[in-house]
Amino acid sequence: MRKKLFVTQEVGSLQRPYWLQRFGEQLDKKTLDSAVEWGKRLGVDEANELVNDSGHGLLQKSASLITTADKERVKEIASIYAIRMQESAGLDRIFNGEQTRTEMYSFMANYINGMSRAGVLNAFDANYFIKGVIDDNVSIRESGIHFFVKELGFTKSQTKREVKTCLTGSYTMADWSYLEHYIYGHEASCMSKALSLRKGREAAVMDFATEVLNPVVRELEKSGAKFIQIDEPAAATDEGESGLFVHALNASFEGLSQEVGRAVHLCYSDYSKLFPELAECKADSYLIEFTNHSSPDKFRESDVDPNTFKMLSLFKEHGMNAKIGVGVVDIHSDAIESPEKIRDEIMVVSKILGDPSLVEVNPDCGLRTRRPEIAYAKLQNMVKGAELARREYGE
Amino acid sequence: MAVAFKGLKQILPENKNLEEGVKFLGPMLAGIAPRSSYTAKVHRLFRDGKATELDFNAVIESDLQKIISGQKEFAFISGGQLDWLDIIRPIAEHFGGFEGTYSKAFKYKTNIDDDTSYVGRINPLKNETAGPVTRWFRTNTFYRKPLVSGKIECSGDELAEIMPRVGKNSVIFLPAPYSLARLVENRFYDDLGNLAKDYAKAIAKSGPKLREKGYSCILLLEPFVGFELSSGSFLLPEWFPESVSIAKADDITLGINFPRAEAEEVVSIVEDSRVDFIGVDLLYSTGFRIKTSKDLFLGAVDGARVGVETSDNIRDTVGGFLESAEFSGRYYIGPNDRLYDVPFDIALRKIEALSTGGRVLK
Repeated sequence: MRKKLFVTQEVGSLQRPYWLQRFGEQLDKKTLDSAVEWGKRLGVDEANELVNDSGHGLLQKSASLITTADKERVKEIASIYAIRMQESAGLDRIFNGEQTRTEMYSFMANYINGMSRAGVLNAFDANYFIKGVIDDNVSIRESGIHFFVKELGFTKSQTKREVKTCLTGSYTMADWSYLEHYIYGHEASCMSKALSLRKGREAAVMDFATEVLNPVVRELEKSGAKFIQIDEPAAATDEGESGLFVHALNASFEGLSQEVGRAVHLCYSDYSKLFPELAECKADSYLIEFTNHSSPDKFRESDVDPNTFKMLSLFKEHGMNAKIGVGVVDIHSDAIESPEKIRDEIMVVSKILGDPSLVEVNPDCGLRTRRPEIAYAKLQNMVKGAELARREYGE
Repeated sequence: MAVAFKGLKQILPENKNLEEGVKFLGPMLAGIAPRSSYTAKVHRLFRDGKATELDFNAVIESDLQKIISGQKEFAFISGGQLDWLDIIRPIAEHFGGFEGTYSKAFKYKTNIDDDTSYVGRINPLKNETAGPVTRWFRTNTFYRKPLVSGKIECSGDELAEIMPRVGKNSVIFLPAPYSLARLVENRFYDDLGNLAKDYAKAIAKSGPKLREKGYSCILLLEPFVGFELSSGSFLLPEWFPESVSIAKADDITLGINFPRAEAEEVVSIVEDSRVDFIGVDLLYSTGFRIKTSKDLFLGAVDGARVGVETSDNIRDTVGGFLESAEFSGRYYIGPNDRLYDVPFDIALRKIEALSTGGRVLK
C-alpha cells in the first residue's frame, strides 16, 4: 500500500494549560471554565475529574489536600488534552505535547548525573530558562529512563495513531550548559583557552550522546517506540563543529533497529552550515523551521518565497534520501497561515526535493509560545494545507 | 569593497607612552547585564497579565541598584541596560529607517517623572516585530532581526530618552557599525558600508544629549568579527575603520570591544580610526604580540563562564598581557563580553571581582 503523502505532526511542545502550570494554587473561575470548555471541545472524558459540579475536582481541591498522585493525574489529563487536540486537528503523528515536562533543557537536566542548576537566563522576550552547570561526567539517571518509558507508554495507551517521543539532543544539551568540568579538565593540558574550549566541548557533547541519549533511545525501542525525534536547536550555531554534531547524533541513535524512525529537529539557524558533514548523518528525517526565515512580509503576501527553501537542494546535492519535515507555521506570530499558502509551500519543497514522498509537514518549532486557540487553529490549517497538497497529487 | 583579512599587519607611529610605564584607568562592563531570577518571574507574570507594569519596573529598578552599587570604583558606570531585551531592538525601535513596529518609537505610559528612575522606557513585552527570530551567536539567546527599509537616522534625542541617569561618568553599550550592518536585514542600502556609516552618524548625533545625561563613554560592541574570525570567514570591509570613526562624538570617550576575537588580529583594524580605546579578549586570544598607540580595554573576566575569577586570576591574566604587549600604557579591565550569559548573582560576583582585581592592579 502506498504511504500517505505529507504526514503531519507537531514538532515541539504545546503550551501547558494554566491550570497545569498553577496546579496547587487557588485557581480562578476563568481558569476552571477554560479547563471545562476545552475538555468539551476536544472530547476529553477525563475533564470531569478536573472540575465537576460536586466541587471535588482535582483543580478544585485546596492545596493542603493535594497528593502526589493528584499531581501525576493532572499531568496525565493535560497529556490527554494535548493528544486530543492533535487528533482533533487531524495530525498523523502524535505525542503528549510534552505536558509532563517543564522545558526542553532544564527538564532534561533534572535527570542527568553531573549537572546542577546555575541560574536563570533570558532566552527571548519574557522567556527564560534555567541554565545548568556541568561539574562531573554526565550520565542519565535511572529515573530519567523510567520517566521517558512511562511517558511513551501512557501516550500509546491514549491514541491509535502513530506515536513519537522527543528528546533534547546531546549537542544542544552541551551547548546550552556551562561546561566547567569538561573545560577545566582539559585546560591544564592544553595550550590555549580556545583549544581547551574545543576539547571540552567535544568531550561533553560525546558524553551526552553516549551516556545520556543513547541509553534512553535503546530503552525506548525496547518499550515499543517506533519514532524518536531528537531536538537540536543549537545544531548549526558553529559551523566548525558540524562534524561533532553529526558524530554525536549518530552515537545517540547507535544500536537502534531500522524499524524505528529517527528524526532530527533543527531550528533558528543557518542549516546550510551543517553541510557537507550532515550527509554522514544516519537520521532518516529532518524537521526544519522555515517560516520564521521566510519573507518578513509573509502575512501580507500570498506568494511563497522559493528562496526560503533553497537550502533544501543541499540534501539532494549530497545524495541524501531523507524526509524533510517542512516548517510551515510560525510559532512567534498569532497570524494564522492559510491552507493555500501551506499547500503552495509543500509543493515548492516537493519540487526542490524531486519527490513528494520525502515531504512531511510541521510547525517551525513547538507551539507552546501560542495560546491554545491559536495553536489549534494553526494546526488545523496545517492539516488542511497538507490535504490540499495531496489533492494536487491526486490523493 | 572587502579585502581578505590577513591578521597582524600594523605600522606603528612612534609612541612615547610605550616607554612611560602603564596606567590603570579602572574597570568597566562590556555589555548588557542579566536580570535576577525574581525579575524573570515578574516579567513572565507581566506577560501573562498577572503582574502590572509598575511591578515589573520596580524589580528592574531593584536589579539596577544592585548592579550599580558594585561599580563604585569603575571608570565608567553602567546600569546594565536591563530593559533592553537585546542590544539591537531599542535602536531599531527608536532610530528611523527600520520597518514594522520598529518604526514607531514605543514609550510606556508612566506616572514616574523622575528621570533617574529606570522605568517605562522600553516595551518589555514587544514580540510582534518585523524580522525573524535569530540566534545571538553561540548562545541560547535570540533577537528579532530588524528590517532596514529606509535611511537610518535620528534626531539625537532618542538614546538619551531611553537611558537612565546612573552617574556622572556612565557608559552606554551600542552595537558597532559592522555588527549592526551584519545583524539586520538590509532592504534599502546598495552598499552595506553606507548603512554602517549612517548608523554611526546617528550614534555621533546622539552624543551631546547622552553627555548631558552623564554618558561620557560609548562602547561599541563588535561580536561579529570574533565570530567570523573563528570560522575563517571574516573579510575586512574597506569601510570598517571609517564607520567606527564616524561614531566619535565630542567630549565622549569612544571604545570598541572585540569579544571572542584574537587580540593580535583585531587591533590593527581600528588602529587608524578615531576610537580612544580598543577592547581585546585576553581569555580567548592565543597571543599578545600587540602594538598600538591606543588605550586598551582588557577582557580578563569570562562573560560566558559561571566560575567567578579571583583577583589573583585577573592580575595574572592582565600581567601576562602587559609583559608582551606594546600600547599607550593606559588600560581598563572588564569582562571579555556582556555578562548577560551568566545568572544575575554570578554577574554581581564578577563585578565585585573586577573591583577587587582593580584594586590589586592599582
